[in-house]
Formats: sequence, C-alpha cells, structure tokens
Amino acid sequence: MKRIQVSPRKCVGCELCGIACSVTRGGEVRETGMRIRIKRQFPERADRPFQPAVCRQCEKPKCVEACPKGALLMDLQGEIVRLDEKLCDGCGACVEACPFEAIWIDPQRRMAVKCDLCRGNPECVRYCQFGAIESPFAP
Amino acid sequence: MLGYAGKLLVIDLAARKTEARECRPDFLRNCLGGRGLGAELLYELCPPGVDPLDPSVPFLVLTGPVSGTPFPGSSKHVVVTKSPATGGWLDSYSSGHMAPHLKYAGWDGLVILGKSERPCYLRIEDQKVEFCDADFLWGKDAFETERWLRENISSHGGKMTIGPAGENQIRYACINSDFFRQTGRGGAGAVMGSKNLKAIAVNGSGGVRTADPQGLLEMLREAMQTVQRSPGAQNMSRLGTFMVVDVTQTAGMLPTLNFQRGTFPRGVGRIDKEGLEKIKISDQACASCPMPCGKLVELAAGRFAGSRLEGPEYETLCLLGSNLGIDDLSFIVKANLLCDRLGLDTMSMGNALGFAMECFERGFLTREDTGGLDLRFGNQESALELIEKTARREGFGSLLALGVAEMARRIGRGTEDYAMHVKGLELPAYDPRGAFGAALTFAVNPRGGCHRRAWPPAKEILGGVPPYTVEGKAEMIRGMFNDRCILHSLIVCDFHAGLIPLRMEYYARGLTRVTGEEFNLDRLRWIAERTETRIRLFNCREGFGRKDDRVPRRILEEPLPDGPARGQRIGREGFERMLDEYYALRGWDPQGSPREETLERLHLVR
Repeated sequence: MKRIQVSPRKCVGCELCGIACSVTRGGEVRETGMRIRIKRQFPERADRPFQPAVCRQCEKPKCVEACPKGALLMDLQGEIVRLDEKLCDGCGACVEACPFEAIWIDPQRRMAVKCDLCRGNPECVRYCQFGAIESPFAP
Repeated sequence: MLGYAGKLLVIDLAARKTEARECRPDFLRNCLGGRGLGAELLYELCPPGVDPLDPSVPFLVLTGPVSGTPFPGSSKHVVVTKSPATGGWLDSYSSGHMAPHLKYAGWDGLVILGKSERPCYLRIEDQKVEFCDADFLWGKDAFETERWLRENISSHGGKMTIGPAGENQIRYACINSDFFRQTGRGGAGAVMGSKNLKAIAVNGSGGVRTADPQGLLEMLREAMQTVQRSPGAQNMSRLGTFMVVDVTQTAGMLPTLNFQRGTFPRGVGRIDKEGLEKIKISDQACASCPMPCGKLVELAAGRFAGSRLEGPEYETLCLLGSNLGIDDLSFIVKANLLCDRLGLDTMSMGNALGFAMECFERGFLTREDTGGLDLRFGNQESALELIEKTARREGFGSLLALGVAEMARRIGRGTEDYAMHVKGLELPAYDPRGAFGAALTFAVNPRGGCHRRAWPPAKEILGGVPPYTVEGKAEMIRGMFNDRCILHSLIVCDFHAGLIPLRMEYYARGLTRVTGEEFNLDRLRWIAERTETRIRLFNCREGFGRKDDRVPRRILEEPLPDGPARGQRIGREGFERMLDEYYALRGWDPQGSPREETLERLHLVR
C-alpha cells in the first residue's frame, strides 16, 4: 500500500510539511489548503504530543463509499485515493466518514482537500528533518 | 504590497463595533510591521499621560509581512500597548498560531480600543467578528480557558487567554497562547484584563500571497540545511535554552540569591541540561521553525508527579531557581506551570520573590509582614503559596503583585538597593557585572529591564569581545538593537539569526521575495533606526529620559563576590559614558531626547 509513512513520536510539530504542501499545491500558505496537518495533543497526551494527520489511502476507503458525487475514487493500480475536483461540491460527507480525520474541506474553494502523494513525488517529506513522515516510493 | 493583508481590524469593545483600517504601502515601507508598525500606531493612538489600565489605551496585536508565509520562524505575533509595569512603551512577543491565522483571516493585526462593559471574549473568523459573553470564563485559569475555546470554538487557530492575574490586573500578568507560549513581559495581560477581555480566538481560511513562493521554499530548505550543519542550532534543538545556564554559570553572570552572587554551584547537574535529560519527553518547534528549541517535559515521580509543561526556559530556570537559591528542577517546573495557569510572568514573579527573600533575610520583612511565611532563600513551599496569592492579590501576595520597584517604595528603609529592575520592569537572568554590555542593554531598552532587544553575551561571552569594559559597547548594543528591531518588525523569531545562524542579508532577501519590492540591508537598518527613535519619542512624551535609563545600584557599585567575574562592577563613570555614546550614536541629545535633525533624517514628526 502506498501512503505517507507516519512516525508520530518523531514529530516535533514544526508544520513545515503542511506549509510546503500548501505552497506546492496552491502557491500560498493556507491552513485550509494543507493536505497534511499536525494535531497537537500535549499536554493531554504525553505519549504522543503530535499526531500528523494525512490520508492513509485505505484499501477500502470509507470516504469513497460516502461520496455522493463519485468524486473520490481509487486509482487504477488500487493504490491512491484520488479526488476529481470537477465532481466534488464540498459537501463534507467524506470528512464525516474518514475515521482518521485526514480529509478536509477547503471552505474557500468548496472542495475536499486530501493527500494524493503528489503523483509519486510527495513534497512534504522533503521538509521533515526528523523522519516523522516518509515517502512510500523509492528515492 | 504582497505579504500584507493591507488592513487592520479595529475593534471598539465599549461600542461593540468594528471597522477596517487600511494600511497603505507608503506607510508600511517605513515601518514594515510588528515592532515598527506598533511604534507608529501606539504613538498615534495612545493618549499621552494616561494610566496604562485606562480604557483609552490601545491594545494592539500585530503581525508582520512574513507572518503566515513559508519564512522560517514566522509564527510570532506581538502585543504593543502601554506597559502597566513601567508606564511606558511595551512590546511583548509570543508564538503559536495567532500570527498565521490573523493573516489567513485577512488582517495584519488587531487594534483593540475601549473597555467592554462585561467580561467578553472575541471570536474572529475571517471577516466576521463576534463579541461573546465571558462571564462563565471569568475566574478560570489560562489553560481552562484555552481548553474551553478549543472544545467549543475551534480545535486549531490562534488563541490568546489571560488567567486570574490578568483579570486582577497584576502589573506583570502575561497572555498565554497555545497553552505554553506567553507574551510574558511588561503586563500585557493586565491591559487585557482592564478591558474585560478574557480571550481572543482567531481562525482564518484564506492564504498569504507572496511574490515568490517557490523562492521562499528554497530559502526554507537553505535554513534547514544550515541547521543540520550548525553546532549551535543542533545544541539548541537538543537542549533549548537550558544550554544558556552553562553559558552564564561559566561566565559568572547567573543571577543567584537576588543578584547577590553570579554563580550557583549547587545547581550544576540539576537545573541545567543534565536535569533536563531526566524529564524531557519531546522536542517541540513553533510552526514554520526548523530548530525545535521547545522542550516538553513531564515529572514522572516526586510530589509534583504528573506535571507537564513546555519549558522551563532559561530565564525561568534562573529566576525561579538560582535566584531564589533553589536547585530543584521539579519545583521550577511546578512553579512555572502555576505561573502559566495563573497568567503571571515567571521572570518578574521570580524577581519579586527573590527581592522579598532578601528583604526577609536582612530583617526588612518579618513573619508578621508575610502572614507567617518563612521567606528565607530556598523555601519552596512559601514560594508556591506566594505565587498563588500574588495572582489573587491575597494577603502578602498583594505586595508582591506590585513588582519590585513599588515593593521597595512601600517597604522603604533603603531596600530599593535590592530591587532589581529598570523603569519598573524586573531584570532578566543576566548579571551585567559579568559582561558590561548588558547594563546598557537593560538601561536603554524602552520597555525596561529586558534582554530581548539585544543579547550581548553572544559577543562578550561567546564572541571574544572583552566583557569587563564599557569600551565600544554603545556601538555594539546599538547594532544589536537595530538588527533585532528588523527581526521583530518582520516578525520572525530572533533565535534564528544568532543560532542557525542566518545572516541579516538572508532576511532582506526573504522580505524581497515576500513583498516583491527590493529591500536591502541599508534600507532595513534605516527603518530600524527610525523605529527606535519613534519609540524613544513615545517614552519621552510619557516623561521618560536619561534619569530613567538607570540600572540598580548593586550592578554599578557592589563588586560581584564570586565566580570568574569576582570583583567586577560597572562603575558610575563607565555607565554614564556608555549612555553618552549611545545617545550620540542615535542622534539623541545628552538627556536622551531625539534631536530635530535626527527626526528630519528619519522622516519623523513629533
């Protein structure tokens, strides 16, 4: 399965991954445009202060099931859940369905936002100095 | 100009009305943002001579052109207002998600005026502003308040909260953001309290457009690569400001027992990096920072078991540690946590306790005064009880709540000699007798006794500049002030320039890539010079002058009794010489008032 490999204990919460993602995909920093986001859990959780949230490209994706427009679908190799922006109307059914809180709605574009691994060359991982996120593809 | 939102959100708490105020490029070109923008706005908006807790005092929360961009260290915001600690200029910086979310929401900052009739909190979502009732939050501590906001308003976004100390308008009350980040110094939390403003929550759904976003990402990677190669940055990432304890201890300028001594041998291996190793659970970085200096700690055992904190930072390690004769890191964590929750500045609180302890040991205070508390140095129980009482102005705590300058006035009998402050702001954790530049830094800093606008140990302790002389220090401090002014106007974290290190040219290049306009270093230094003089004009208008650019007598006259700086003191003559030279370099007259030709050169109008 191809997905961003996450090691939460290595994350320090710098959010450079999300910043790079947002700029690469949308030309500017916008939290609402980030396809990877850091959940800050300290002080409640000392065992895992930071939890990077990013699409796990599930084998049986709940979001795909939930989408009433058919805008989310598994690609042909069965590896990456893709969003067809032309079909998405930002209804948010996918957000409710995702058990990992790893898909969001961009209120400005009225569109779902999710990781599609930058078509095989994920930009975010280049900005993690700590190995908290890693690419599933061979370098 | 790109990078900016181009407008400020003006909020009238009394009338519950808002309006947008445009910021034109020709205005921003001369002040940038942050400190520079605050200097212009405070000078314009603050009625001269009013009490800092008067409703007419503006409370500004500002960002800068690089806030909310990929620029490293750009998640800082600044509060600018009139200081309840000094009655003069106050700028106080913090981190978290306030700055980026203000920009995402489409604002360069907030201009908060007036006083709400009832306790309220502000909820800002993009262009929408709500004045919400906060009666039910009043009395809650800063963490409870933030937790409520996270659960009921938004789990992310920017937050600012005050605790009971801010509500009670303690002159060194702070504001919390993201639980553990504070606009610590000078009493910004008291100003919020005076306006009946318990909290601010900001969420923005937009973005920040820049001229060269790809170029900015390249610069970010450049900074990351430099961090990897830099021993200073690696140390900072591992140890945070814990590492400074070794620097000042070795230099003999670690304030101990209320600045009576300059070393604390008992603390070695306990309140320094070795102590940290035993309690650290993770490093933490602010958003956009490649150098995670924050330390998340947890006490696993002992009477404070379960305490979790980001920190303590160096200043707290000293001022609630060595300065009180306490070598127990668990206590420092606990006391820090208590201050954070109550909304008190750990630095001023530590000074107030240290001053009270010295007065107690010298017989100027007795158990009758302290409500029966034994206040000898090292007494942890008394210290914890007094922190709580200070925030609530209870019993003897109501005296500590006044800060050391006013405490000394009330106690009298010459105790002002033990009150370690400048202009009413308690000193940070550097004894200037171990490196003389700090004396000038503290004296001329417009917000009072503060180390954030220049950090001379970088040169005098670590950089080979002779520490025990006033020679050349005015020029050195002026240069440091100007560079920091640029960083604080952009606004970025000032740790990066010194520690990664990133050269000042890097910042000029970054600003050019953000705004699309050419900014070179000469231009930025001119803006800094202008801003420093603008702030000086503000303080002069409030009655400050050379007479207030003082450091405590102890620093000038009492030789340090211990450590490598043993026998050192600044001396009055040398101190006055530094002041003369500093004013001359700035184009201010011998009384410290800016000369007319200086104002002309800097395009400033009184």
